[in-house]
Amino acid sequence: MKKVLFSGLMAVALSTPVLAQDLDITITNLTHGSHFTPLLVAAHTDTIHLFQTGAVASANLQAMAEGGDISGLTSDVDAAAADKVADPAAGLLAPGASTSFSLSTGAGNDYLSTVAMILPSNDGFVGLDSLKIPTAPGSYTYKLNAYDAGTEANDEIVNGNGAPGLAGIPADPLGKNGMNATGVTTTENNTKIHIHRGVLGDTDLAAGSSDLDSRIHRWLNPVARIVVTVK
Amino acid sequence: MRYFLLSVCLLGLGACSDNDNKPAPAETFDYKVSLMNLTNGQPFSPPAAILHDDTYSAWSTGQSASVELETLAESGDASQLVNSPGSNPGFSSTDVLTPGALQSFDISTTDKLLTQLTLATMLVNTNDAFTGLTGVSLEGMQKGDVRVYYSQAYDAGTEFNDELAANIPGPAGGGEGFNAARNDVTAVVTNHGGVVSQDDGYAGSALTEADRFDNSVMRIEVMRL
Repeated sequence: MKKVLFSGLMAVALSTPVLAQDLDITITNLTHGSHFTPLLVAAHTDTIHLFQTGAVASANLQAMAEGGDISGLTSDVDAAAADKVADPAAGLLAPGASTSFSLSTGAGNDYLSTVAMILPSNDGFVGLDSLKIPTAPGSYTYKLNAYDAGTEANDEIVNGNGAPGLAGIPADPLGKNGMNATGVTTTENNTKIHIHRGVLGDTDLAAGSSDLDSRIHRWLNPVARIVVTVK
Repeated sequence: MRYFLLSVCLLGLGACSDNDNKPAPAETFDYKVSLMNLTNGQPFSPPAAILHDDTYSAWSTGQSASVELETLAESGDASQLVNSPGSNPGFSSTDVLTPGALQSFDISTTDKLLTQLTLATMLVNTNDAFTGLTGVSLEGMQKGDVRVYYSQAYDAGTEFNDELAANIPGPAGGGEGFNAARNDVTAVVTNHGGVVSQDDGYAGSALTEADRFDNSVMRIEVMRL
């Protein structure tokens, strides 16, 4: 009887949501030539996702991935009673740069997610989907990959278009893009969220198929590092 | 009583002898480091290895590269890095680590404060790419323990990745190594974005598709001897 009771207590302990936690978080852009647009970082329950691979992007995720607009996703996480930090870097996060901030999580908000658009890209973003936040005090490091929202063809034409549904790339914050590109492609095979295949680029700043510079704007995974310190 | 004495000797880990005043031998920290080049076609320059304390780091993402690191990353010459200020003089191999090859060497210290390991080597068919580890703690390793790491390709942020033969010191270019001028678009250490090559539309590149790489580029095995 004593043994059964013990097992029962264990089960309760495992299914009980973690109580509030204080986290210190540092996110680093590991790429050599790509900026991140404003990050959205949220601690939430297991009932929501900012994104999921294999799923079609939500309209709000599309707006983030194509134009860096996190207002819609911010409303989503607020509606889900998540804890969030929006735009901790106060704007763009440059190649190699880090941003550090604190996040206090409410009871039950045990999962951590983050997104930000990779600029320049058509609809590439750095992402973390629902990391179970460790409970033991300590410092935990994770490497993040680049994802493709699957909502826009990766034509690699820098034309200022960041609104959802409009072809093209808003800008290159490094100012190293070319012009007059004819476009790398007009189609996107996988229209669901998937691992980004990387940008192609070329070395012709005045013509060619891409306005990106292959020597500057390409990346390899991982593209970001997140360090979560549980107090 | 005899039993008791024996127990004390065991607890003393060899400190017991006929002469009670004889000091215990200092603990030595000997490690065998085995490195494997995981790339298809990038020779690695003779690797550097340093045992150091927790005040030293050979590089940090987002920070400007030291001249010692720049020298390694642009020319493959590790001699300055292994003698960097603040670090214990380290080991510098004399052998290039070719793709697919395994290279092993021993490093050693008796200073119990030198608990951290730095390893660095250049991908020589690049402008300023390197790989390795820095500030990895070996604390807690017992004799016979093995730890395995996989390292990524870094960009030193000191030389623009033009891939021109004149600026590639490896066999693909035979060009210049170290140059004090810094002309990279991002002037801090980051991950490397990979090489383009002439087979991927960059006619001026000295590199071919065989020089391309993806992470991870090196496997590192550390065994305490």
